[in-house]
Amino acid sequence: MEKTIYIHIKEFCSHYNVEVPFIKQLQEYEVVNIEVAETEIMIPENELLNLEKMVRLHHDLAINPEGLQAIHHLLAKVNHLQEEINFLSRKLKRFED
Amino acid sequence: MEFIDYYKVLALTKKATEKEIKSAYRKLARKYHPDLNPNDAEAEKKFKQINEANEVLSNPEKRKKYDQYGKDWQHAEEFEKAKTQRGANQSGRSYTNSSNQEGDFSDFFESMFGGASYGRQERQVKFRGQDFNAELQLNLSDVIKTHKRTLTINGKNIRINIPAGIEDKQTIKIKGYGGDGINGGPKGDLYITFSLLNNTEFKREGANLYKTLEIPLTKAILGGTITINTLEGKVKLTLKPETQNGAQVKLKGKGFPRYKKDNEYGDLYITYAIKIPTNLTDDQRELFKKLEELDLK
Repeated sequence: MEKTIYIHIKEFCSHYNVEVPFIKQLQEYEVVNIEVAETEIMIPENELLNLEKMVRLHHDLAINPEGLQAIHHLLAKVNHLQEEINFLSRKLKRFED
Repeated sequence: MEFIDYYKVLALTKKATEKEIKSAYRKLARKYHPDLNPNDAEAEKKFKQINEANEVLSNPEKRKKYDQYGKDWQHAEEFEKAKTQRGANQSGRSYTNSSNQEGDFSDFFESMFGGASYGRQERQVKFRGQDFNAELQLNLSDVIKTHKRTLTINGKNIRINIPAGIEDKQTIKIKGYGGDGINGGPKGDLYITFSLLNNTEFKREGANLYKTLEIPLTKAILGGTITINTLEGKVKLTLKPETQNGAQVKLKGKGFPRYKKDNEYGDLYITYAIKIPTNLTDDQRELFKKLEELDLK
């Protein structure tokens, strides 16, 4: 059975020097998924990369949670379009060959 | 090594105020931040320069040294020491042109401040290396059996295992074969997307194979034996008498290997297409007429 590793929100916040309400706000905006186990708030390991990215953008560029939400959606769209471009390029290449 | 003008990097003049430096940094960082420019090596490079420029110019002490010594600022401390020592014996001598060494800003940064992390006011941000994407074109017949292949990615030879049954457009991830991380961050990954050209006589859907086989009208009516090609060679099939056009038979386990499942294969589906004879001889035409008459009775 696959095991999911969780990181306690306080541990994450202290490591990355962010406030707990900041993470909760990102959860509210559906930018990250955090889980509540009994009364403790935990971050699943597979959310770490995404959350770290958001923290970097917040620290480096002073982007607030509202801005991060917009970036999150736009990056998802960019990724999707990029995948589509790659797929269509390959398809086109076949016709050209 | 090339000297990097930090003012130029941030598009500022030497008279720029702290506020202007901060504003220029934020503006450019928003444009080139690696998280906002995935898979863009140029943006990543530019962002590193912008960061470096900001770290020096936003620190009054470092900025002063940079302004004073310009490209030779990596020797600033040595100059200062020499100046103090010689000050007692000689005065009014300029040291700014005494070095012929070309200074590299990053090297300076490390030697001057004891490594990249020294003197930084904020935490050092580690970035995962860039992910590389590559496409590998293979014939369908190449992926019937698991085999190894050597690929050259960014000048590096990588030997990879290509599992039998891989799908067209399927992407596999090879961890740690992407670009180098920044500031000690982990390496990126390599993604290989397979593009399969079907060079077989079969249509493939997952692990199942499909083929339409033409059979003569007489054989369809009277039945008999036919020989068909499979991936593993020829197979003899018994054709039932009065086989209908479009009838399908399944040859269990004669399809494509299942991805990452040893000794498991899909099925091969043969659809019969009855071929209506053309250019009939007189005898044949006569026989068909007789058949027609029999049908009418």
